[in-house]
Amino acid sequence: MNDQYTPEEKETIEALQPIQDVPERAPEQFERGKAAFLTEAKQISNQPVSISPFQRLINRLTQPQPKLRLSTLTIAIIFTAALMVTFSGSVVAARNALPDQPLYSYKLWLEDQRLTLAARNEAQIDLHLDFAEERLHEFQALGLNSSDPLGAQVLADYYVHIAHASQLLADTNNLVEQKTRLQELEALLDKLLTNQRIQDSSESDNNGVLEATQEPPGGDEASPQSTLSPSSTQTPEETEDPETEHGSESQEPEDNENTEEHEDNESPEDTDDPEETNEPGSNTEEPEETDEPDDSEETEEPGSDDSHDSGSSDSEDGSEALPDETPEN
Amino acid sequence: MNDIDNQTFTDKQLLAQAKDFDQEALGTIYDKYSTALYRYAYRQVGNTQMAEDCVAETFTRFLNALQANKGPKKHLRAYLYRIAHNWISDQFRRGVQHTEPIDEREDLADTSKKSVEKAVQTNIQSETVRKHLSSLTDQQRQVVVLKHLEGMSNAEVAEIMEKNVGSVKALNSRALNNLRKLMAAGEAATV
Repeated sequence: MNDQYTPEEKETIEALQPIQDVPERAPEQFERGKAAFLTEAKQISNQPVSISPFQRLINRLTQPQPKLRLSTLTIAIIFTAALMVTFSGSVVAARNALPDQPLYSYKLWLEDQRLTLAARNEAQIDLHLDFAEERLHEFQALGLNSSDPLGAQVLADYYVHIAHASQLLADTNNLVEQKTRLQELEALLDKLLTNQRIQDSSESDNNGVLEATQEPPGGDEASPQSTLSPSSTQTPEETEDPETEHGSESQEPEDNENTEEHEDNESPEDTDDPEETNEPGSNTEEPEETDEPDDSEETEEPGSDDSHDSGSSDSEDGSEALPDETPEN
Repeated sequence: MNDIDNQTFTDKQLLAQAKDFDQEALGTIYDKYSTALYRYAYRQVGNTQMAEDCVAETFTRFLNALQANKGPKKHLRAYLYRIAHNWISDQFRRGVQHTEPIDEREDLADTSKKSVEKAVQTNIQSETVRKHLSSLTDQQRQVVVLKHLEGMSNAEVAEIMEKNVGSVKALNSRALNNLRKLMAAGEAATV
């Protein structure tokens, strides 16, 4: 109480005087506040007294625990994880689906989504080529024919992808690898269809022979799968290499005159085909031999070309796909 | 110091009975401290209704503390002042308007025009002082109000603020210094 203040501090303390005076508290306010306070105290005193912490612990240990309650976040995490597992599982399952399976439409939908998400032209071209190749594999795997509705649908999808890839390639430069792959895919389809036609014709011949000799057609039934399976498991480059090797082997014993005639006969066809002339590198020579039988089958050129083409096609395709059938033919 | 000791002894008895929710002891506590708390609150908030709210909330928190076996051990008055101070500090932090309009002052209802003019002037000065007070820190404002407006000794203030007397003196000195600067700055701004 014996505080000593400086004049400035005294002045500050005196400046507090305006709030020193307090208006008289209303008696009714006082009574009302006191009554409320005592009423509240009575209500609190009537409430049950909470048990001690030790007793609370004993009760918790002795009473059965409630069932596990998951929080909303935990449920959301579990639900999301289940969705992701289900989705990834369905994607994996759909990847190997064939056109006659229920997941095939889902597979096509996934492919559409991948195409939608691909931003660059190069990526879209790659995807279109991948999907076109996948259609060919499906076509081969099920042993379909172009005359079948399912086969026609698969081939239509193939052509759609090839057309898109071609269009994108036309708009884009410096994509030699993709262009080569496109040509290989087209050649693969041509060879596939050619093999089917040969097979059909050989089956019909076999049926005629069988009817004559009344022998059961044992090994011929497996021939469609066997002709298609090598090309389905191999890449287009790999499928062409045996042909060229085989072609060279088959042509090696021949005279140079045959090769010259062969080249002379081929030269007009090759110049007419712009794709073959545009092929870069070593590929320029390989399609000359591979495309030749296809053109001969489709155009059915008369004269010496028929004999040469039929012989080469039989020796190439028949010996490659159906080695046992070539002597019969 | 004897007053404090006697008061503490009495408060101890009251507290022992209040923990059993004895209505008479609780009524005595209310009679003894509610008006002092009202004045303490009004000097800072400048509003009768808010001062009543402060008193009511202080005693409600006191009851809740008793129910939870907490609350004051022996210094009942210091405990009640601390609750009231915390409530007022909350109001300041929320930016609640605390000065009561002059036309709502019941004590000025029957005064003459000249008295009203004087009351208006006083009201403006009070508002200015409260504004400067609210600019201090919570502890500086608490020590200024308890010591210079409630008239408590350093020991009583130290008991309420749970500090030693030396800390209270230092805090009081800083508070007055800051308050003087605030007032000087306010006067300079008005000029």
